[in-house]
Amino acid sequence: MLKVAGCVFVSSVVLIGGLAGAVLAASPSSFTKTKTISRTHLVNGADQVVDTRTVSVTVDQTTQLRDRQEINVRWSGAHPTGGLVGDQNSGLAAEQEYPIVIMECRGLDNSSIAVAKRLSQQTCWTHTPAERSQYDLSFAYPPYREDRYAIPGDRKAQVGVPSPLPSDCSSSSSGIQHWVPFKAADGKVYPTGPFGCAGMPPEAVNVEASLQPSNTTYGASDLSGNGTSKFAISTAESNASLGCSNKVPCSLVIIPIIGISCDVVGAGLPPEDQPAPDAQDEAFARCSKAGRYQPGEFSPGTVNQEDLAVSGELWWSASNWRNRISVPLTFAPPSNICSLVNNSAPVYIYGSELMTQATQQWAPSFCLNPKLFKLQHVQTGEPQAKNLLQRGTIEAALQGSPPPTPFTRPVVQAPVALTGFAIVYSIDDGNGHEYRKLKLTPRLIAKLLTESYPAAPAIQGAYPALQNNPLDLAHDPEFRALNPGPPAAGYNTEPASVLFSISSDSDVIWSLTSYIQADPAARAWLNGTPDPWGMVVNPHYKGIKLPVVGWPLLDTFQKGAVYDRNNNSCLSTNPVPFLPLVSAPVSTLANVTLNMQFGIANSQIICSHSGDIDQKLVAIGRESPGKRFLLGLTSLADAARYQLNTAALQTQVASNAPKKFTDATGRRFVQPSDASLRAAALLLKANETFGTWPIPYGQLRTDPKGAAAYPGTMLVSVDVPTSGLPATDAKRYAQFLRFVATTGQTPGLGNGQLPPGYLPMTAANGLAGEAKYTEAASAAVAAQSGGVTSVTTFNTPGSQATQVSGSVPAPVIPATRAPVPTPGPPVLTPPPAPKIPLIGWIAALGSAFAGFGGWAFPLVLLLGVACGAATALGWFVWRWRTAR
Amino acid sequence: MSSIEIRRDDLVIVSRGASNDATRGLAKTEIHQRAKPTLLAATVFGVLVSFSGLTLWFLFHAFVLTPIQEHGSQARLYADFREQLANATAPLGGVIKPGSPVALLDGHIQGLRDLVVVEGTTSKQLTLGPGHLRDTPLPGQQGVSVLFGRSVTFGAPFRAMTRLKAGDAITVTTAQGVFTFRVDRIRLPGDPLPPSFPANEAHMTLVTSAASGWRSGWAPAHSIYLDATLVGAKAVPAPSGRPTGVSKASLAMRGDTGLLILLLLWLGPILLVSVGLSLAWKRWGRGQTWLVGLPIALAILWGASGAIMQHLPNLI
Repeated sequence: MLKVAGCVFVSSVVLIGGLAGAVLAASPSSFTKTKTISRTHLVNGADQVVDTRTVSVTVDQTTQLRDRQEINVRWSGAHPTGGLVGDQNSGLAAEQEYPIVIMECRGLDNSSIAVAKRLSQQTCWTHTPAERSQYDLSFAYPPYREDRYAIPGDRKAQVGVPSPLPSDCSSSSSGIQHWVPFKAADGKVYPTGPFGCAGMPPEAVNVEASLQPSNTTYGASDLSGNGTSKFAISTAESNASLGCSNKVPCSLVIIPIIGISCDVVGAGLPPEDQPAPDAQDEAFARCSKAGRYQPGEFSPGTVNQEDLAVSGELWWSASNWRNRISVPLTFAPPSNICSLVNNSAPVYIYGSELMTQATQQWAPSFCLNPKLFKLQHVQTGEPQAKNLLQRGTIEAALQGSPPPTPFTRPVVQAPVALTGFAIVYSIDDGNGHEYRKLKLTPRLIAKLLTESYPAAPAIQGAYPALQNNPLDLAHDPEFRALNPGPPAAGYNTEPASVLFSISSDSDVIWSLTSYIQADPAARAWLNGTPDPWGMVVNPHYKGIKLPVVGWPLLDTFQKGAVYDRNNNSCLSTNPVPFLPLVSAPVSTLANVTLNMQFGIANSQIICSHSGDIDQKLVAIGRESPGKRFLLGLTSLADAARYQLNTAALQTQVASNAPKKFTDATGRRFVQPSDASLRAAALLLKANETFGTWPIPYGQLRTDPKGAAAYPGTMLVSVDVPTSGLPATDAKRYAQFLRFVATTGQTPGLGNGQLPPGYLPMTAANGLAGEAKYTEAASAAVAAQSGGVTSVTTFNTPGSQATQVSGSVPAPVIPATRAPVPTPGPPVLTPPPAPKIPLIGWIAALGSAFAGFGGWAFPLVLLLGVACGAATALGWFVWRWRTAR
Repeated sequence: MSSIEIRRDDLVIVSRGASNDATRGLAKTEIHQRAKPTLLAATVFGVLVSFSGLTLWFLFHAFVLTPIQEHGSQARLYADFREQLANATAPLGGVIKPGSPVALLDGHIQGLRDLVVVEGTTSKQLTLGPGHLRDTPLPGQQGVSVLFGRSVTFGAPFRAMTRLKAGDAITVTTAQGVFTFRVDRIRLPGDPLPPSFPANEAHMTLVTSAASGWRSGWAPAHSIYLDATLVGAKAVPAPSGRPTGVSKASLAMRGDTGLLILLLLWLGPILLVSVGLSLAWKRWGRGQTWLVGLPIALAILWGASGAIMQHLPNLI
């Protein structure tokens, strides 16, 4: 049974390998190498070949690597793996039999370069001490001591043990000890030892916390010896002891474990290292073991059950180490390079996190050029950036959508990139392997956002309004109809009932809720109509007005068994509403990406130190691979860099599609890709009122051309005022805009190029108008004369000149833009002429006061003097007139 | 022919005598009463007089009486804060009642000594002294703490701020200890923002209003900012729970227009008092009316001007 499950589990990696194959083949910086490996024992002076394999390894990207980036490693021809574990990155995964060990090591594998720059076992990173230290207190000749290819110094009883022995390691004074020290980038050597007793690097851990996943991967090969794995690169920014960077070369070392080649006689070794004749049989029996697990069999979970001779723990032993395949890696400049080379005051652009990956690649090309300047992207929410720009506190803002009330200053909104948001997911299906074909409708997203799933059975029992709703997304018939397969057995239902999202105001939330609002089925459901299977919206969210910039958490339900002292002591002592704890949004998209990359569920419902005085609610933590069900909202560029799965969103529904559907017939779902972004770009039309190209959500749903367009597309623009900026800053922003419109749109991974996840603004992609507008905007910003170029003159040729309808709500205050340049900045900006009700009038008075308030005393004095003068004048005139 | 003219306020008595003494007794005497002004003219006159009086009173209140008021508030707040510091009950963070003292600020120059900073930055709270912007941490805690202060009225606590230079020290005492800040720069709107800093540092920004030329000192045009960095001690962590947003009235150069209704409420007493006093003037007698009416009128006027001051921008 376990065998079958294991076989099926492992064979799924072939599927993933197939899917990854296309990517790997197309990637220009991929690396392939083939090596023949063998396990040959030395018996009675003769070679005894036990196993020979020809392993071929392909890595998809080896240049311009960035911190935490995921690359794909694919191999074939290896020995099938046994004793599988769920998490290939954990220290426990080292105990698999015949794994493929993938690790990042400092240095290059080249005997012709200096020793200090060469890689060795001592510069390879492992996360836990158990992966680089072995000890045996019961038998004097464990397999690593009988390795025929090891140098005599490595076959001693105690290898790598420092003398004097540190006091913490007193239990290691006897027995066989073999420790592989770690040499850090700064030259410090950490002997490690069991449980790190002799000192280990600061980034290593003894007990793996859920938030510090290792990047050392013990990949599993299937029955045919093929396999694929993702590997997270770490640079000096996240692992200073390893210290890889664009100045320090590193390699990816892949070791296909084939087992120790044994030599128990040890001719040529000193007598104390040679086993006595009666111990030789035992030593050979242990050393030549070929594995106790069947290929594909799962480990029972207890430690040290495997045959050590073929375990991944002995990757450092010479028999395995000589079979390594080293892949040289080169890195992109670190994200903090600008602060290292250039101390001048930077030019700041505030706003959208959607642009983080792009500005990270663009900024070095600015700051490393002595003729240019230092550019710094300060990540804030877009509504906040637009407000700061309106108030004049900042000089440039990156926005994802135009402001609902247009700017009252002359501000040009120049497009810089076409990208969008993505719903990323880590979902395993009923067989425990990764599900990659998620489809979502706007109504499903609305259900996830509005806390309408009870999440826990205890809440479902106690909350009358949600009693008849499915427990979570996996139990929802609408989800099951579109996504047969998930969930895996034993998954957590709480994270499966929400979309992990952000709590701060953002244009990403505005776009997502615009997409939901444009769908009639979702809107009707939000207004209270039950869906065809009877699920209703959480009453706190009924009738919620969309779109919004910040998603509110409105549920207040606080009863039921979860608040029992025996179930959750934290909640019973300090009761808070449960469903907002399940939603647990974070403040930035980058945090969502980090959690989704490592499969960390953020629902804060676990009571740690339960019953103690320091008890508190903490997150569920890392979900076990094979049982995951997580969805998150992030940017397309992040999803591309960290290789996250992206969901296909519903675009159009045929009129004859069934309402209570059982599959995806009649419904069109579109994944984010260059093609689907291009289809959306072709539908963009310039709108003079907004001053930019808004996304036509209504048209995406009804126009036949919108069927293939990705609904999560967002056009990111930079807002720069065209009057009131100091001359040097204006010149710099103009240079930036010119760069963005031209060279910045070249796709690639180098400095100054556009990373994956963004569609280049070119004529071929239907974005020539936007690019030309940015060039014109650059001139306007440089001139600083208050003119704002009209957008409609840059409409892409071939698009109809009709006004977009049903896209974004109409603005309250009509835009007032100066079509001809006016000389000099205005001294006092008069308040705009609004058509707003009385309360708004009072608020407008407040802002008017802010401008006029300084004049209070001069005005009052003037008034007083005028009245006094009039009084005196009147008095004298009266006296004079009546005195005659 | 001789004539005698006797003028009084509204009477003109012209007596033209005859040239010879014989007809002296028959001197014609004309009594003219100065034409009484029409009702319209009298009303307009009265309104103009009141307006001038009120504006003069308003200016008097703003420049002479408000500093006295602030001085009194500061003395009371200092006594409260001293006691709270001694008992270690002074606020540390989170939601603090607006108007309660949170810190003691000392700029070591004339005019910026020993100011008690209160919580909140609306016009009303800044009548008590410098205020602390509610969604920022307290001085000395990690992050940027923002303090507002007036520069014209109510003692103008931050008027002297512009005399500080880079490198000067500002000492702030809060419940978490005594922190010394070093002034980095004075910023005008339009100047580049300060560079970003690591999240575990403490910074402070003082905000007030200023103007140049003939407007300086009484008609500020824009806000002015002073940035300071904590030196010496480590920044202390800020407790969670403080408001994440502040009302519009708490922002720089904003009046509290939510109190418009308050102004209307003052009209009632003003009307009542004016009518009452004018009746008393006629019926009761001048001396008594002066004695009783002056304090009442002053009190009503002080209250009404105070309400008006709350509508003006908070940094004036």
